[in-house]
Amino acid sequence: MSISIIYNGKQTSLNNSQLLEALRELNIKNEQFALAINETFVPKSEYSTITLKHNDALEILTPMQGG
Amino acid sequence: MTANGKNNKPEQQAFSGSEWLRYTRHIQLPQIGAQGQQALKQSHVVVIGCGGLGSPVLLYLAAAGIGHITLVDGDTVDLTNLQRQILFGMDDIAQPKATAAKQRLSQLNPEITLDAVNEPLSLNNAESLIAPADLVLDCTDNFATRYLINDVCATLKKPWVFASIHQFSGQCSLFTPGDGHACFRCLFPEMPTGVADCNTAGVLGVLPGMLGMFQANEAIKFLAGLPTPLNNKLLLVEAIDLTFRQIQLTQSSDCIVCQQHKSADELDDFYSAACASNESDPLEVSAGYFESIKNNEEVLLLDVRTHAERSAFHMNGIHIPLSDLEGTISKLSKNKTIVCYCQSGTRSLKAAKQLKRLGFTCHSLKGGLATWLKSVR
Ligand SMILES: [Zn+2]
Repeated sequence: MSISIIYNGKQTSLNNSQLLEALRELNIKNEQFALAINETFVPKSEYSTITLKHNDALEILTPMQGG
Repeated sequence: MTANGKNNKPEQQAFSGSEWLRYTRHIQLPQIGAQGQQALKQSHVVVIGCGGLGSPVLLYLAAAGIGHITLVDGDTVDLTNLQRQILFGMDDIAQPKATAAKQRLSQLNPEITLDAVNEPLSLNNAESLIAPADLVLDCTDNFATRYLINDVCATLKKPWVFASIHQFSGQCSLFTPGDGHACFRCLFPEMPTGVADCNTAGVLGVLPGMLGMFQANEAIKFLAGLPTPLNNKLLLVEAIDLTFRQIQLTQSSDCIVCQQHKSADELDDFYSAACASNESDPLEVSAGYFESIKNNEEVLLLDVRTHAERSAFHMNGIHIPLSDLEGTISKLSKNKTIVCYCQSGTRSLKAAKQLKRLGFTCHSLKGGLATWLKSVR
């Protein structure tokens, strides 16, 4: 089933609503990121339980080390 | 003084005249007042890193009258720092940052106590430096120190204000261990590798200024007992399009810090992995060799990690945490070759050495599960 989400601020259409499938579809392979859905952080251990809904805002947060 | 004037000792005052004048604009704020300013004066803050973030943090905390500030930095001032590290001037070049910062701050506010520590935060000094703090400010420029701050603050239950920057972007949060909220490792469980720092990626000079001031703002409010909205929230700042957003954080159910405090062995393991040497011990076997023997009949895999780590992922075999090994060793059979493993290879090598002394045939997986997992993927 195809759904439309907001990925890092951009409207994006996906074939998969399962989060893990969606990450694969978005080609997010690097594991060094944190993920938020609708401005709420989602721990890695919960990825397999999440199904994205229409217009969910999915955000990839990258670690930065500067100071 | 008592009402009838019998006691001639001067009445205890919270502030000297000069302090009172200096902090008038704070004391006038009904949300801070004399009481809040007194709380700042009684506070001991440890600022780790006196660079881009540390500069505004230190200037504002010292000006605000934080009574005791410890400055920690092992670096010296360089010309390339002056684009953003506003604590320093030309005269400070080649001077140790912590000492140079202390000099600058003591001119700004001679009423406060400043301790300069001219060495980097390390496993050796982290606990003793952080233990006396009411609040820690993470103004470091590298992941290893940031994870060390997270883990030591979790163990000692010390609140800390995190910030980091990259080019035009910044992140900031207040972590308060022990309250069920997320920690930095909940957010980023593994120490990232191959991420650029300011020295290679470049950074907009005002960006650490912006983020450092958010850190100082949260710090002052926290110490004065005012609301701190960044507790359990991550602030994301984009300086180019000037957007500010907040992400609600939640504790991760498999965070090795939040779910079970890391042992000294694990910390040891983690940081030695961060700066691992390539020297091999004869007891160590490579990930490739490990992969080829791990299913052999005569091989017994021994996981020496903690129960929490074991429950997150393991490779069958048996499990004896390193701390329990001594008491359990007599139950192990000498008919098999024991191959010890842990996260990064440090604890398993300790275990293998212990076993060898007692006459076992044993090996340790070099680089630990971290290396093996990468090699088989
Ligand atoms: Zn955590």
